[in-house]
Amino acid sequence: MLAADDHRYRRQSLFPPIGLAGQRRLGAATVAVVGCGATGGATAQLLARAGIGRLVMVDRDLVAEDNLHRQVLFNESDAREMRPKAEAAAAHLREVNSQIKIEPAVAHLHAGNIDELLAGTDLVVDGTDNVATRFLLNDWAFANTIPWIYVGAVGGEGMLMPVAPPHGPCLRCLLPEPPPPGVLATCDTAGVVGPVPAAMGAMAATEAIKLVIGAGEREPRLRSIDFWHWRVHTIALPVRQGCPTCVEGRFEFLEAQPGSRLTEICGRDSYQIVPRDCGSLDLAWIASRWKGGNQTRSKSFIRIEEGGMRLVLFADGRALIEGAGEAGRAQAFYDRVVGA
Amino acid sequence: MNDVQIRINGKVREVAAGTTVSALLQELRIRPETVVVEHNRKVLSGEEFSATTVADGDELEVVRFVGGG
Ligand SMILES: [Zn+2]
Repeated sequence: MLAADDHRYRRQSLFPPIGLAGQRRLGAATVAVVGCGATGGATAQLLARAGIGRLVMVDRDLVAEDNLHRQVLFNESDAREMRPKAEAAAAHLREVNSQIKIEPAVAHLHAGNIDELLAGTDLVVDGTDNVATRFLLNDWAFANTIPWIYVGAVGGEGMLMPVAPPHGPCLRCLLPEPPPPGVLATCDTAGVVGPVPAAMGAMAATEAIKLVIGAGEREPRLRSIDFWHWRVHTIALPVRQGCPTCVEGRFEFLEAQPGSRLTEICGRDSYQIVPRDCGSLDLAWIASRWKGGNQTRSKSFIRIEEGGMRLVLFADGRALIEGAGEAGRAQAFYDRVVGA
Repeated sequence: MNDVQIRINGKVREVAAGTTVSALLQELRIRPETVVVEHNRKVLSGEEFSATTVADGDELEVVRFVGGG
């Protein structure tokens, strides 16, 4: 087994700072990639190729046509079939590397399931597109002393910072509080140049390899890259005085009670509803009693279309609703389907 | 008041002497809580934004938090 592995990875282990010892460490490591879209998909692909022994991939979303210009793990049929990103990514990566463990989770990461979903990971890489999940990851990393890599990409720019608990700086030294909705540019308001998140994902994968084999920077730096104008800037971010996470060890995002929440996703007239009680729904039963509108089923969700709205319901009670126009209408549609 | 010449992210800009970093961010329509500012290569804390004035020849790097992915 080792001989085959050695051959497969030999161009990588030939690089002296990695070597055979480093390659073995990669094979023994578990890395979680949270968010399997543009940055996360690129990271996950390169880590699978690099021979990370166990890859956990968490994503809450479905593949859509407007993902294809930048999300390198998906193809047109994934978008047509609206496959869950985590599952489509896992299927793709199993063809890339059949010798590693790939564990997809179609889920919205929150305070109530993060311990379970990230159990046993040595490192977490950020592939998310939102600040709330990053604040949760930051708290979780310090509560469990597990390193994570913050990665962001929007427009023609990217940003990356490895965070290495128990030492700061951390995400909240950079951004003390989550900004109110609408303040930060998103891929839906500012657009995104397709290769930019992929390039950031490749950098994150490189940092992940370094961290796994113990070759990470002693004092991690914040790196900001404007690909469009070629400005690369490195910042020695100081630990922020009184930082709740890395200085005071208060983990308010980790301790938040997961309540029923309705959030707007990426401004593309799409809402997500995460119910308070994350028990398991009987999708077959819900599908059988629904009499209105068209419905289709797959093994992990049901999809119901009615009056220009489209609802995708997962077994954990979470739903994505498109075409509702406003939050109340989305919630009402959900309540009618689920019977809340 | 005299104008002074500074560089922001590599680009030359004229601003009134005595302009604070806070005022500059406001002028640029940048929300201070979403950026890291380096003033002559030293990272400023949020509290220092209103206490720091720019002088001729200063270099500022304003790095915006990148949220997408
Ligand atoms: Zn901190």
